[in-house]
Amino acid sequence: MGRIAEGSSDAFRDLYSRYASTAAGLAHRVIGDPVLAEEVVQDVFMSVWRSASAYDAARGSVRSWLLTQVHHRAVDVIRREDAERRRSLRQPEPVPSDPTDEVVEDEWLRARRADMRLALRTISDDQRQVLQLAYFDGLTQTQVSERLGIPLGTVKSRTLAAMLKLREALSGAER
Amino acid sequence: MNDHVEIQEAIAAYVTHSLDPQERANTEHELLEHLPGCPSCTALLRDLRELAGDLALIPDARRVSETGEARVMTAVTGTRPESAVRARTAWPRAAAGVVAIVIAASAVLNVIVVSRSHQDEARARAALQAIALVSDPRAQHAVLQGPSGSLAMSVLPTGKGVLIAQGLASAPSGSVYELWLAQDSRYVPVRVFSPDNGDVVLPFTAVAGQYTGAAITIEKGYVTQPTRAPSYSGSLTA
Repeated sequence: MGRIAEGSSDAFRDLYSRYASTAAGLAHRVIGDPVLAEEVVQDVFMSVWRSASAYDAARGSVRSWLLTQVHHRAVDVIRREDAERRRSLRQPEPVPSDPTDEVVEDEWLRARRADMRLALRTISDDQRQVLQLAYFDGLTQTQVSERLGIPLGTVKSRTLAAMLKLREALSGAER
Repeated sequence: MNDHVEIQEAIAAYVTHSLDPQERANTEHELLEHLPGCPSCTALLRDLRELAGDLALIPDARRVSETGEARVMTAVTGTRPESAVRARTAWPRAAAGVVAIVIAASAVLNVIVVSRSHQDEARARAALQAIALVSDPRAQHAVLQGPSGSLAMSVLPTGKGVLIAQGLASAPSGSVYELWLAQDSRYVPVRVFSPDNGDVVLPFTAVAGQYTGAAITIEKGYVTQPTRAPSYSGSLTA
């Protein structure tokens, strides 16, 4: 990130090559619209270029910093665009039919992805459902509470429990 | 929010972006007060923030279009990061704004420490953090001019910022002030606030991004689009 902050477009291109497809996968999962998802990815990467000096290594990895921005932006978009309406109007996705078929990922990222998916299996169905609605469907905790018909306090405690369990599951698989 | 478990739940909600803007602003304020004195919650925030980033790995990766990549790379090739530009050119211009805002923050801190030190330790800490923030070389600054004086505001590229004022009149009965960041003609809501005996030391965290200005409107409560013309406004400069 230091090289990017100094204006190295080569370093920026490396960052883009490494994470753009993961960012696109996340944005598409949250927004459900390939065009808007790609706009989010472009916006975030351009923002990263402009304000690379904002990255603080003490607060976490570049990967997490970048993907957190993608998620936050995607959630903003879906809340603004009215998620249900957009999903109901969603057109068939143009390309690619198998989104992974042309994605080339480095080995580390592929392995970390596998670790995360394994860790997700360690949490209860109730916890996974709350995390799914909040993180991947972009609902607020209040909306999750209404959707599931459970108290807001239960949503809060399940979310924390899910995150702590995931952290524990991943602690043995740190890469 | 003082209970430790409540703070931990708030951290989990915060890092998964599952709060509405007002809840998020309130949570940030509460974390800002709690974290400096709590290493365990600070560590939890770091861990769960990292974990939330890695949740992004669960969906399948998705190929980005060549058009999109070309658009990003073209934009990048034609510009330089702000840090690279600012490092060479901006200090003299930034200095006056930083000095003015640090003086404003110091004045508010002085009032808090001298006259109300027993009740307002949290506010004193917030003011100290505000001074650190406005002194950050990455910060942009604005002086928001209005009918009864001005407010000072600083914001980092991360979206973290602070609004500072003294002697601000209360909003009309049943109304609150709402702070907005401007991206050209688009207003992004930040949070609502009310002055405390005229004083404002308002830490906030907005969506990270490039903002051109800031404004304050008077609203009946938190809204996502301004319903009135700004009472205070100003441009952000480095």
